Amino acid sequence: MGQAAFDRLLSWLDPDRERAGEKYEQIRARLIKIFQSRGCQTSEELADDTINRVTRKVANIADGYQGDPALYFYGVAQKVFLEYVTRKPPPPPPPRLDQEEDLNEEYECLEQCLERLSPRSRELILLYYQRDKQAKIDSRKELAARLGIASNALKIRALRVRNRLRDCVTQCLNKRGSE
Amino acid sequence: MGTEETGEEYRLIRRYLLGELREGERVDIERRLMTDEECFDSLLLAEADLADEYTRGELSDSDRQRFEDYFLLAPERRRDLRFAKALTKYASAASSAPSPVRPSATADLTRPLFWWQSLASFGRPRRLAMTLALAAVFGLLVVTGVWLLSENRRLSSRIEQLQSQQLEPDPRVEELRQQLANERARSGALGQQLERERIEHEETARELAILKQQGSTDGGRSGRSFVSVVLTAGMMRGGGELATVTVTPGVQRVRLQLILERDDYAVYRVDLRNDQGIEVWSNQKLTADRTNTVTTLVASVPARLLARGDYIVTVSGVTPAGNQETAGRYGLRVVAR
Repeated sequence: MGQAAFDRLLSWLDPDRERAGEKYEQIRARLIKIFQSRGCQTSEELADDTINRVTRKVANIADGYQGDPALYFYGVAQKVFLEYVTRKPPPPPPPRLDQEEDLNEEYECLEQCLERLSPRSRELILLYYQRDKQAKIDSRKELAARLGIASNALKIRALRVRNRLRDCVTQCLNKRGSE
Repeated sequence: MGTEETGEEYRLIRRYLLGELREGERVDIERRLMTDEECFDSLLLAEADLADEYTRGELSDSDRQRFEDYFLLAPERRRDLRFAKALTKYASAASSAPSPVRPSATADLTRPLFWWQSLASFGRPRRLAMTLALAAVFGLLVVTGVWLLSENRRLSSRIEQLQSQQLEPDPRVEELRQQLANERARSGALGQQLERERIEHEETARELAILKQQGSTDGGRSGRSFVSVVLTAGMMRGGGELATVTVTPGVQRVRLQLILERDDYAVYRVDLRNDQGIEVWSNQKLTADRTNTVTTLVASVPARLLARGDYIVTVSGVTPAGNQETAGRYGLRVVAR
């Protein structure tokens, strides 16, 4: 995929280069989630394949296309998925999960990553995930009241911290794996 | 995000993630995922919730089955589940020992949320001052109690003496009886106060022990040349975790504060073995540090001997005849940075 074609793709997404970059990342993230949700084993590759195909076609479609470009990507992703399932048999079910699996490396990375969070975020995430069942519901309500925000806003706030933490732990584990 | 957790879209997305939607419903959801920010946020939230609920055993049997058979097909999600398990266990362990402070409605997250964080913010000099003040109060109550007991005995003796001297009732005897009754009442009240102070003193000692342990995790950041960790007998802590000490660059020594369950020996031996059973350090002439509430052994181990890994600390009491008897075993995890 050449630079000119890629520039054309970004222009199609948004005339502003920065916003186009954001839109590109959003579309890629959504495609990955959709492939994951369909049980694909190589979701990132399939998302990139989808984007490459659209990029190759963009010169022909951009001018006449009506609507949100994200839906065009989705249409191409459907075809990519069909090809994927045609050439690859469905994977076997995952092995039964061992409840006592060794999570030592995850703990160590988690501890490191928690230290990198701000104290506020660290406290929020630990409080948010510390209880079970009814106690969990009550404690989250209490936390939301204490912060003066709706419980849904608390969920989103906690989710963002969780995702940052998860990405950090993933990087930490990858780094360890490559050492 | 405007979608409530109990909303229709959230429920639909959970079903989508568990592979329960028909083809048309699935395409509708996916088209919205591509174009609707809130819908995509709902998906991220539902993914995290499902992993969390699975980890805690909160999913129904059928959802758990779908989660294992469908949701976890993607390798990224299997990795995310491991993260969810680690986070859940870590957060639960953080809350299992002490109970969180009941926050007021006006509090915010800039304020410490756990009791130990409030204490930690005191700083060492204030903690020391608090300990000394409590010890002084405790000591004063003990002295007062002893004095009252002695006074009781003196008055009782005086009454008996007077009774033996004259059989007729004497107003002075009645006065002394009344005085004795009053002193007994005061003594009883002071005894109750003494007991309350003793309990508070013990709680403070436990809190300080935990604070020291918490302090051990930031040894490198605070620039100290040593880190300290409090170990209680048994291999695991209450939350099922090994006690962990973080050894950062610059740390010279690791102080192991071993809380003894019993104090039956004048001299103790402490040895530290790695998970291969190899002895990495020992000291045969340690004596216990005794307070009213807790007896500890402090072993100062050169940090350079401690690689990352798990260790077993064995404490043996040395008998007068020179024999060694096992007095306790402690688990320790060393995390090197």
